Amino acid sequence: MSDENLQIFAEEAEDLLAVAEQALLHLDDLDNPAETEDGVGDLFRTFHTIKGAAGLFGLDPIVNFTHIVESVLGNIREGTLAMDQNLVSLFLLSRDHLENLVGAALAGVEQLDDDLEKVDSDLVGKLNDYLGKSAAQEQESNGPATSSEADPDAPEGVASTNWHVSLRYGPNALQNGMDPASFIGYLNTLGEIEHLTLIDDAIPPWTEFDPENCYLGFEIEVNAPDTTKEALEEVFEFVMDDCKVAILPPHSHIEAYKKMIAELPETDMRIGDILLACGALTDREKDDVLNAQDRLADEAIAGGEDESVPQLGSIAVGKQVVQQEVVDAAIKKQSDLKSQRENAMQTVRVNSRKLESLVNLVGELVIGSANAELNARRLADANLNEAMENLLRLVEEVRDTTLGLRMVQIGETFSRFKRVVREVSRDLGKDIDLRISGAETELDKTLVEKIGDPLMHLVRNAIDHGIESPQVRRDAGKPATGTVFLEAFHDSGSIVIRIRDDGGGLSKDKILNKAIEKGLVQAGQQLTEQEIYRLILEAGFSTADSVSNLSGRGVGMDVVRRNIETLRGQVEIASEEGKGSTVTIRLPLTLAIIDGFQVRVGDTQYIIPLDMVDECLELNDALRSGDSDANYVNLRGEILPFMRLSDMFDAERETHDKHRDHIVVVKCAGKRAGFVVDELLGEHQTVIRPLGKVFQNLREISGSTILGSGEVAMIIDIPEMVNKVIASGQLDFSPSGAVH
Amino acid sequence: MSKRILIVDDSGSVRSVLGIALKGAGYEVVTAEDGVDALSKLDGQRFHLIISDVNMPNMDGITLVKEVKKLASYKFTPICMLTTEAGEAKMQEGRAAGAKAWIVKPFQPPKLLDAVSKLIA
Amino acid sequence: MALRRERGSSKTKGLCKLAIDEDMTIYAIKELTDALTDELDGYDRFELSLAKVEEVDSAGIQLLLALSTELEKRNKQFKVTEVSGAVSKLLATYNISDRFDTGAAA
Repeated sequence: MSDENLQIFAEEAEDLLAVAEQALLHLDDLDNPAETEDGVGDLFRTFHTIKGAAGLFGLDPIVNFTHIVESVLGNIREGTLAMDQNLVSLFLLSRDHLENLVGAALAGVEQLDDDLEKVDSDLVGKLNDYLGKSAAQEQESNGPATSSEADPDAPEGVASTNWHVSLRYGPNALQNGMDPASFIGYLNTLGEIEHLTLIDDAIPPWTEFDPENCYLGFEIEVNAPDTTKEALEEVFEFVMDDCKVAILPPHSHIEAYKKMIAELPETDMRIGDILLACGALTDREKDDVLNAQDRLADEAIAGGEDESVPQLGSIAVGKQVVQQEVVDAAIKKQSDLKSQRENAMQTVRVNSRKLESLVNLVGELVIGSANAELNARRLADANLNEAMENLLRLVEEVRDTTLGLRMVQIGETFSRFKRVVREVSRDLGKDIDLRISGAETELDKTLVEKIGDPLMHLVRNAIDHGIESPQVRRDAGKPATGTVFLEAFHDSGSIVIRIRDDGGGLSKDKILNKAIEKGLVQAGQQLTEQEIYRLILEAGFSTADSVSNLSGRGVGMDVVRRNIETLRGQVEIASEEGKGSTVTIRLPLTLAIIDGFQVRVGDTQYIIPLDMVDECLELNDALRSGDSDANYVNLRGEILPFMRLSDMFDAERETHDKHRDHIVVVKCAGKRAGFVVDELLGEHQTVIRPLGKVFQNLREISGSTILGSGEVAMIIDIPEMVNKVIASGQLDFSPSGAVH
Repeated sequence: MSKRILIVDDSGSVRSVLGIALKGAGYEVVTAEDGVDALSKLDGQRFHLIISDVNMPNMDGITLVKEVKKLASYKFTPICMLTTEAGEAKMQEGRAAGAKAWIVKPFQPPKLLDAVSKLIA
Repeated sequence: MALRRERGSSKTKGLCKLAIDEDMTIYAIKELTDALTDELDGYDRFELSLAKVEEVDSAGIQLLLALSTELEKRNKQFKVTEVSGAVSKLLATYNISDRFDTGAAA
């Protein structure tokens, strides 16, 4: 089942849980038998419906739990058990627990954690007391699937040992070359097709019949005891755009059939007959399914009280047994809920090219308005300037909103790795847990697309080379299960993505030996820890002792580094032998427009990303502690290395008497450094233009921009520069002394 | 009647591996080196399936799909793309253009034959 | 021409004998449908031979289904007289061999 379907289940469950809560809160006057009966009825139906839907998704913990609640409620309804305040509180607790179970299912939790497990068994024990059964018995019988065999009246699993496959092709299938016959033929290789019914109900009258469209549907019984649902789903992966597929495992719950029938376009009477003919359902099971639907419809006629049962509308209309107005009344509340939901999810899909050209236009708008502002200021007309200010504020808002359109959460990219980790770790015989945090962190869509592959490589690397085999881990006194952490967060104008593992860490000696062997460094050369780690980012470097099936993929760490650097990002590596490694990727938030801080050096103007500017000071003797040649200042007791931009860019330095040097203090990745400039010009909305070929090798510059005056200003690559400043000081000024 | 398949890939080794696997399974195989070559091979012959690489010189796979969809005699022929794990975006582009099937490289012959028999069993 | 009117057809008797040759796939399906449309009003009974169909796909089968439903709705008779091996095989796959009153087995 797709996540989308799971989402539909989640919404449905949420609505039903709300109904259950209301019903329970209305059960305050147990002396009023009519109200109590209604309340119990509502409760029964909500738990029953959630159980049915959960069964369809194979959410066993929910099915098992709701089954017991439903049984107790059933006894109350039949009068063999009296409702009391204790039961009301027990049901309230059950409702809350069910909410947690649904939450866990949505989060993809397959095994309940200890807390949930404990609450589950506590509640099950208490509920079973009311059923006159011991908890142990219930545990042994292991839920409704097996208990149905013991109790022929139980409405759960059907008798059929076959898989049921229901297909409804969409109009384009044949035009796309997707012939149903081929897929059915292939299905026959996975198992034996015991029965197939072709459904041609959707073929329109001759005059409206488009022979190139596909109108066919199929209900198929497949005898394939050894196959899995995934394998069967895979049969139809090529037609996922062109066909609605429902696959029900052998002995599926009656609810699963009910749900499937409700979603099929044909009347349920017709489908019931088809399923009977197919052998999917026995006569009795068919009646069960259809009667259940009838009962719902009857209740609707009886006064529309049962407004909250989700399938009601479609079933009732499909069967055409109820008058339209009755149904309208009955489904009113339901459709209200639905439209609320739809409003909340209303989105417009826009071609990304249109969005790109909008961003480009906004860029031009920003430059144009800067130019207008400059001219307006020259005219010194108060009204014009005020109008200009308003305009600029609006332009800024337009800019932010436009850029916001391109921001997407990184979560989707992250969750793609879950499967990779599962598959790869299985292939390697390792036990690995992937922990994700910061999935909601937003970044530019273009970045998301381009960061996927490098991230994939790093995650694979962590699994392949980082995490040790379970045996090695156990011997080292670590838990056998390795953990890979994938984190994302925002940090001063950048997005940071971190891939951390608790594996063996990098071996400095091994890297160094390999680098010497490969001629990347000279033997005896003194390297810092960071420099050694960075060697693995060099072209043609690999330290894996054994060639696993992940190696030789043609992408090395050097490619990862290059990919990230073309996105104006940096890679940092930290590691502790025996404890694990961390790769940190730092990327700019957007590739298009930033808030810049404009400075002047000589007659050239530069832009520093504003998010990275910490403070600006006048560079005076007090700061320099008397030593005018030092390349650091004493900033409130902190040693701050600095560099003159004029030196860096070979610009003329102003030395006349009136001139005062200014120092811009920037912060990046926890490191601080200063740049001395001639003049501070203030904030500037900076539309980033790619650099021409001439400047591409200039690592200190990350881009250019056009100023309001039409002049070009360079954007300084602060992370690169900070590293340079610190390196030139031959000191590690980062506060912790280590690189993250 | 044995079914005829057109293989389009700029790599000679891919063409020959695919060719051997498919011929072994009883299919008739025609190969082409790129999109342009493929279109010339399509002239006049009936094909039941086109298997095409995405990245190729002269004319890439996506363009080929779009061109094939314009040809009255081939527009309904199923097209299977050979993609890489990194080629998700291209694959979506191909699917939007009408190539609904795909095989992720690298793959073993059984995987190829599975995909082919889903399409033209 | 993929659809042929065979000898034995007679407007006065209301009988139309048709045959489809070679291709009954999606590539030919529009032409076949149009050709059939031209005949539907003129006769009361239809006999269709599929003996010479070399290639058939689901579009072909779907056309048969649409045609038989339509003629039934118009109270006209429809009979598939002969089927080729290819047609017979696909009808069997779809479990609808008995939907078409084939006079003689192919």
